[in-house]
Amino acid sequence: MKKTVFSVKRSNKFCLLLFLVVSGWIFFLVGQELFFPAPPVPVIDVAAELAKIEKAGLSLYPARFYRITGEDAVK
Amino acid sequence: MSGRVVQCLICPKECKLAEGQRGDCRSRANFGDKMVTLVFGAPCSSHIDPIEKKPLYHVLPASRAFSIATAGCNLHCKFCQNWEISQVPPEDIRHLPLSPEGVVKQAVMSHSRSIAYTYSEPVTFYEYTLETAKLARRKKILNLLISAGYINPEPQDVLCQYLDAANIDLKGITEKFYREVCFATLKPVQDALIRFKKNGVWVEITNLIVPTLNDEPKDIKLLCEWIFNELGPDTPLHFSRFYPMYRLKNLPPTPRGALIAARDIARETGINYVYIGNLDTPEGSNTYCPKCRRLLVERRGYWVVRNQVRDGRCPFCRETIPGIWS
Repeated sequence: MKKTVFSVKRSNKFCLLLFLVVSGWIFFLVGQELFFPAPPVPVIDVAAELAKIEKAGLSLYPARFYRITGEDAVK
Repeated sequence: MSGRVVQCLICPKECKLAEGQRGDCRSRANFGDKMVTLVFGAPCSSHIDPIEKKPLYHVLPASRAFSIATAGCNLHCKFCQNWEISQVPPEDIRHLPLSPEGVVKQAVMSHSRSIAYTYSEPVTFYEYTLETAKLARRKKILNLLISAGYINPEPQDVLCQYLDAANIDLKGITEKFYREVCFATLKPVQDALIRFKKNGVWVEITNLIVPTLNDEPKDIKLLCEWIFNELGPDTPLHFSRFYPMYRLKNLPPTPRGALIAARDIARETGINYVYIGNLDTPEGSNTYCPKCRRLLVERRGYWVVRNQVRDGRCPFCRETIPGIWS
């Protein structure tokens, strides 16, 4: 009987499964980026913010309990 | 835009902020890779209140509490009673410059025996609260925190060193209610309540009963059981009446019967001191001895008509009445 593309040897089944898992994972990651992208870093006019705060008579007082995450805000 | 991301660790929301960005509370921001508060020494409200208004019924009855608040809050409860100050950025509201020294001075001048950090959310004006509380402690003025208790353990432990009493709003007993109505989570509030108690801060709890949202008797029972088991039967519980406000103008005020039913559930659970607030009831604000059932403190609204507690005890059966009485 002539072999068809769908008849896979038992030894190749593992490779096929691996291919499906890997491609599925890539498809999932790409889809996630496409449909659920990370929120963009907000673009804030820092000078305008500071001017607004100053105009209101408020001051910047050092706060406690925070950390610098190491993440770069530039995107 | 340059600069690094700064993460605020004051409350469980732990906002990550880019340069110039504000936290969820609107009063804390990242400027120059540093976290700053915009409301230090800038209260939008200051008032001399009877301590019963906080409400703290087991702390120096009939005394005055010098009360301050700044703009902003880390919760966004749809029923907020003070939304005009809690849900706005500080630059959008008038404020009065008042340093921590000034707050203590005003408290002394007004014969206030305590300073209450209240109205909005003192967790968001943490530094102002802390520095004022340190000075007040030196002058033997009590520090009262009126809060939703949505605070991280480390800042809470530091603040507890200077706090005498707290009224914490336990808004409900389900995560769903906290998420959908308050935009927060329940577990950190429960943890904070336990931590206040462990740190020796006198704790009273307020629960605002909102019709259709958190008024189910089974939920009230759960709330009371949690208080009884985790905080003890001597933790005063204030059921408060809801009035249509902010984003819940569609709901009616809490029916009188619902508040009385809640009080009965709490008493059946074993909580010794249960009160009804925001509603004029003949007995709702009175303190009774849990042992001999005699009237100890008679209140009408925010006013104390009669206080018979002597040295923290019932004068009739000598039962200890927990609280700060002198």
